Amino acid sequence: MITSDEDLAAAAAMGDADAFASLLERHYDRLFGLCFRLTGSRSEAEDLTQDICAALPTKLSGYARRAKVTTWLYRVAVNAAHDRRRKRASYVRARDGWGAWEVNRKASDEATNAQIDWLTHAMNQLSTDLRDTLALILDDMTHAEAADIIGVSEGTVSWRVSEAKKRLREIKEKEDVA
Amino acid sequence: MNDDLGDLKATFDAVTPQADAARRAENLALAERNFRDLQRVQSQERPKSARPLKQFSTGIRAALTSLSSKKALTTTTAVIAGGFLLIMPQMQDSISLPPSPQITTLDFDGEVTEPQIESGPMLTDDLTPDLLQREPLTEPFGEVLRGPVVEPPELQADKPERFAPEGDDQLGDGVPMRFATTSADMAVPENEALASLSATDLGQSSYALVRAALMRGELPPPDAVHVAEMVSHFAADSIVIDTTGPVTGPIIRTIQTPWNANTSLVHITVQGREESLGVNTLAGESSDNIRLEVMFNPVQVAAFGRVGDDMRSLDDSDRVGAASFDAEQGISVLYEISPGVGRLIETGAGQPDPLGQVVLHFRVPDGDRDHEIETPIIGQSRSNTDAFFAAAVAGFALLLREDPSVAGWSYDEAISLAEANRGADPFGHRTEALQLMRLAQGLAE
Repeated sequence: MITSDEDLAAAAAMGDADAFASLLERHYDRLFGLCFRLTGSRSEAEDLTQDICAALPTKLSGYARRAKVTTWLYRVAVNAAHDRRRKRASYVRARDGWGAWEVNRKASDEATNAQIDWLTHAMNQLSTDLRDTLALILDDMTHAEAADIIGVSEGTVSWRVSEAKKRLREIKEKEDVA
Repeated sequence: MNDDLGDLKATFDAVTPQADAARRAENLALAERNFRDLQRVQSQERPKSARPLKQFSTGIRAALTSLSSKKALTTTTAVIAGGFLLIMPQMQDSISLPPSPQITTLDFDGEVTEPQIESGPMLTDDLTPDLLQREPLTEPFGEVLRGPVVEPPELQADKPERFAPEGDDQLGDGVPMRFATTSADMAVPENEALASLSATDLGQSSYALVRAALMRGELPPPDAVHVAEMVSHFAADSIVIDTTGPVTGPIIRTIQTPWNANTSLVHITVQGREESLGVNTLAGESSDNIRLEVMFNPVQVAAFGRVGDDMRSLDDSDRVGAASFDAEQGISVLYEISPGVGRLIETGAGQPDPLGQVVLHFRVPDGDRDHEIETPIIGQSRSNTDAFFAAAVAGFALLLREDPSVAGWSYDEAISLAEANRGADPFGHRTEALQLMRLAQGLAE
């Protein structure tokens, strides 16, 4: 029988180190994937995941049993991404772009490269709010869950998703015309 | 999810990389370490306010404090005095006070003063080791192991033979660099005497017995005085090691032996610190993580020994005085050495051949390998307060032991040396040592 995420998190909040390790081991890869979608850069995603791992023991005290662990964990991740952007903006003129794909091209075939180019171009057309919302929705989060994580209303999430779709369609239409 | 987002998700899935395995392991380890640290911090008792609790008398005191006019003070004093007059006759019938012992005490100049009436457990004849066990005088600070007693080598007259040259370890003139090794680790033969200063037997420690005897107005039995313990107790805990570097090794000072012009003292101090050393902190979770190894160069040193123990020749490779310490408390070790053949061998750049070296072996918390810091023992050092104070304590202990090596030395000289090198004394232990020295001086005379 597999112990639920919520039971592991509750035990970890009570000081169970094994439960904490199991919980993090279970969710690390998914967490990294979200970080990648939030940043568009592998190295940034690695650093962001490290930030989250370092802070997670302290954040654990804020975990409420009524919430799903993934919801709580993603909220921590999104907040950490915001913090990281703020810090970068404080001493670097932040490039508001998304992704550093020159180091992330994992395939040499042209089809994949074309996909990457399109994704980079498309994501850079979106605001940070829209990108963060999409990152959660594309992780199979419902609008309600995404709203809970970001801290906005469900209606706002739905509007952002709609807006993102509209932008993506515009981009495609422009490409087709070209 | 409709087609628009479906395409986007498919693209994301195609380009999302796997987490780097090494970073993954590092990050998981980081999280687990932070989790353990947090649990440890949370499990520690929160500091409590030293402010006394508010009581009924607090209000009375506050009222009296606020009554500052002359008339009010006169009135309240008269009322209180009247109350005492009424109450005291009855109390005198019901309370019987035990007779207080008469104690002859010494002032700081070591002169005998008039007998004074003193009370309190610390100055009565009831101050026995048993009492000290129930009420430890100080926090435990680790353990000190004493080495085996061996026959004193007759080395003062006869210098030891040189080692035969061996392999590549020889210096330019054919003199080998092989060092004799003493080890301050826990790998001490089981039959060696253990003089532990843990909390359970602190009352039986040499320091506690010496102190109790002197406070009773007696000189302690000579056999109860252990020099190494006394040095470690009085000279270890106020040593501050420079933490500006990434790792702080032992501090080693060599000074002239105050009571013997033919020997020198090597003072070695090590202190673990939990802060400011980062990943290389010596703050191991157990004393097993830290080991001190002392090696002497047979060219420069003919014989050596922990002060208070018998000196031995360098070709005697028996493990001797050993000590361990935990992360927060330091150690102070004092070796006495007699010079070797008297030659200073240049090792290049005008540097004299070292007297030996000290190797600090340690393992960082959660580390998987040992680290070493090698520090050479050089000749006479600059004036050093800590080393001279340790020497004063050692000489004081030798005087209590009635050791023949200090026949030409006196309590007066020990006190002068300690006074001149008391330093900041943040813990007050050095001042206490001086008081004990003066007590002993008065009793001995």
